[in-house]
Amino acid sequence: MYGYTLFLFFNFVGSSSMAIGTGYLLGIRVPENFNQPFFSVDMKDFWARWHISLSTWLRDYVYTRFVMDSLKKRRFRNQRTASYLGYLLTMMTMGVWHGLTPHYLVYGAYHSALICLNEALDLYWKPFKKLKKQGWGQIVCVLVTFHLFAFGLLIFSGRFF
Amino acid sequence: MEQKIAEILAELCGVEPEEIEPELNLSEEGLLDSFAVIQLVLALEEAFGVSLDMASLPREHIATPAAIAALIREKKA
Repeated sequence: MYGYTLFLFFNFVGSSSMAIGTGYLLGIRVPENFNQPFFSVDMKDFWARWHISLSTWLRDYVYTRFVMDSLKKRRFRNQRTASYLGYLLTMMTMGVWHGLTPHYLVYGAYHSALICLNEALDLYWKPFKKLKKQGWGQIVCVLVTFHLFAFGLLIFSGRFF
Repeated sequence: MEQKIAEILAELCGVEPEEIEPELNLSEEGLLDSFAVIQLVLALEEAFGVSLDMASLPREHIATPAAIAALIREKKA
């Protein structure tokens, strides 16, 4: 699990760096695709740092559009329902983006559940925000986030299905 | 305008309006997540009677209270 996680990370960072370098040679500024993702303190933080080109596109064109439209049309009694469904839709789209085989769909569903849990902790467990910011709490959050992601990649690898 | 923006942000971020300084970086400080950004845009549209298209709205235009005020002034002009 750890080997596969590190392999994917370095492989992906390397190919992204080649794309960025090629862009510079052609005079095009290509933004960074990773921002120290293994220092993320939770899954929302992680998705702001990992495969940034894809996650930003999904945020802007799936999550934001779905949630904005839902809030404007008052589709749900509780506004947070729109956000949770938005995360589900976004992460399932991310899974489908990788392929239509079951492990990619489960990978999307797994990350939907993690992001929704992350949102619920932010909202309802007040110490969580403080915990993430400093000291041992932050270190534990970083380690937990890394392991949750690494387990997700085990699903992604297709070994379970 | 700045006072109203501070009130909107304070409510969304769960802090007092006095804590909202003009150059406070809202996303770097972890005060606004993706959902809060959408709530902010809807609140600004309602409060100032402007239309903000999120698809063509760079995040740096809503990165700080001062940037938000500049954006609203531009939209109202």
